[in-house]
Amino acid sequence: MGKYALRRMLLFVPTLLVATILVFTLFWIVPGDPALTILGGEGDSGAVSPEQLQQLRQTLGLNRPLHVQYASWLGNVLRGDLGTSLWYKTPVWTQLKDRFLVTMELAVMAILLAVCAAVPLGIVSAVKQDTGLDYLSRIFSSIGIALPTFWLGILIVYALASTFQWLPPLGYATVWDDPLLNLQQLILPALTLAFNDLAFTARLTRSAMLEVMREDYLRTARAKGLVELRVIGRHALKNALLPVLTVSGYQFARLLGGVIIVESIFAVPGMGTLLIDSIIHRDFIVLQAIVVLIAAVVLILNLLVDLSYGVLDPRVRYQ
Amino acid sequence: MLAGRETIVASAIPEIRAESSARAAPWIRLARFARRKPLGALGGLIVLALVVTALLAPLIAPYDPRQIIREADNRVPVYVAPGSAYPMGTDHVGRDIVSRIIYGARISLYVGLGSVLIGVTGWFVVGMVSAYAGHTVDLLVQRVVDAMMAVPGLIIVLAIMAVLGSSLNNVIIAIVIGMLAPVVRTVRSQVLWVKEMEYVVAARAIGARSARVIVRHIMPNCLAIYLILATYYLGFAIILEASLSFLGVGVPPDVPSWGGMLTAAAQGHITKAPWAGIFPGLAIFIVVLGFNLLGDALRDVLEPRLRGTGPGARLPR
Repeated sequence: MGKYALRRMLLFVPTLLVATILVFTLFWIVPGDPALTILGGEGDSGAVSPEQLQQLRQTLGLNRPLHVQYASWLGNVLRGDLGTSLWYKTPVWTQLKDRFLVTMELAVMAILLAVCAAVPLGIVSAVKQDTGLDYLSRIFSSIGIALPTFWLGILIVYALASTFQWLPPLGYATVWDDPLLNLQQLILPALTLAFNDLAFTARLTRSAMLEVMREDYLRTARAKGLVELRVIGRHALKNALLPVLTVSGYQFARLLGGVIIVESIFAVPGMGTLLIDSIIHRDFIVLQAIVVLIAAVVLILNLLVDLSYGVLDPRVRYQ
Repeated sequence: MLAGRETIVASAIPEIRAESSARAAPWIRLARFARRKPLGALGGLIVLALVVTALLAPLIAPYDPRQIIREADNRVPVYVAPGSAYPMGTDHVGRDIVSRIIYGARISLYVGLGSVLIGVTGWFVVGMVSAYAGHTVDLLVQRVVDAMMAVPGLIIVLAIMAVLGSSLNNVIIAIVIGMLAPVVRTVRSQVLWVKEMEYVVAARAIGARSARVIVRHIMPNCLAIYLILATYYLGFAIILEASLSFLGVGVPPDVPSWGGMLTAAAQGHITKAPWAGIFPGLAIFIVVLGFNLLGDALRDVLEPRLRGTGPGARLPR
């Protein structure tokens, strides 16, 4: 186990490093002068004075070679300094830390909702294969996968506003300050976000269960007279849930993409709304910080999933 | 006893014949596909409807999609409910929604086809070379893929749009880059599997060059997966374009994009004019469902090994 864990962790560092390099180069090798873009003078160069431009290049360190820029940026990031926002002129981290927690709460809520609903659905669908129930749940997951998150969000808002004249309260209260308000604010965005993932996880659980149910050890379990519930619950589920666990880790990355859309529909003050804001203001420092932060979160999560997989399934350790 | 066996053989012959006539006329094969996979056929019909709508847009759209309508008394019909004059109503500035949806099919199809032809094809080659070459090349490609997998597809695409600025072709470039990781990963694993097949090993054993092995032996066995990926990713590209335009960083606002049409609806207008929020979303949903159903059916028929990896399996969103 130790060797397996070490190998996984060794893989984590270069991957994160490559991610930071990609993010860094994306924002600084693009066509055009970032300083000019930031000053908003692209197209009509008369609007920006050369001194202004020179000064901004100096402060951004753009007149240094790229690898030096990258090294100093990475050094700062490692020391927890994500830079200063070009638009708000404040340190990025002070902007980001509250919003980061909001987004994480939303995403965790969504993935829990999705898994809790999807696993039973997938199991029922597999156990009652090719019955009406199975077809119903399969149709449901086909629809769920094709349903665009933003449309679902709009429809939910419409349904609530027109039938109950109620909309989730704006803003954000932490769980510690006001748990009820927090739930009211986040439950609908979380449900919207969960739906897509739910459909997908249900489909995955179904196919994993179907595969496991053909195994010999299930026949053995039945042959020795175990109650069906115990056969499914202990022998089948334990093995079928492994792929579901792995994929849920990757699904979290997708969820973090969906968060942006959901946050902008329900006006949740999370990282997603900040990301859209930073795109509109061309605040590349904030944008860069958010992308790197998300990459780090996803990679750490994948590492944890891999490690827990090693604990749960001894076979993977020896591959 | 013997007679019994003969009848079995005899009755098996038509079946064998039916199987071997897989080389039958295309419409017969199509009909057979439709009978075996009714949902896939439904998907195919939806896709066909999309293509026809996109091609015939100028003929079937009642109004100019970009034009703000002026009625007889010079009044602008803002948010007129669906009726005989406007089958799906009008939007927040007084444009006909049905015309915008019809022309929107062109945008969706253009972005979908453009990004799939460039993206799936390009990354397909990269994945194939990476798997075939192995060693350093593979290691490098793998690290890039892993790194890109760590960032949600939508965020990659958004970041690229932030850098490039909003335009139709930039949307395609961004989506192509967003496809890199999942396509390369899928193709790579397929090629790794095909590479170990006996016929490939045999070809290499008799001294065939790498280029020949790839073109003659590996590529034909990856054709099915290319077709399946292309179908899924068409739907995926359409959803991504709609998401970008919805968030206001996709195509410019006057371009009739289904996603862009929903932006106003999300800004609180939905209670005022539900039709403006419902119809464009319905169009996206139906078209994406069509591509997914067709992709599922193609996968089951052409490459059953992949079953269980649904359309969402490797799509970042």
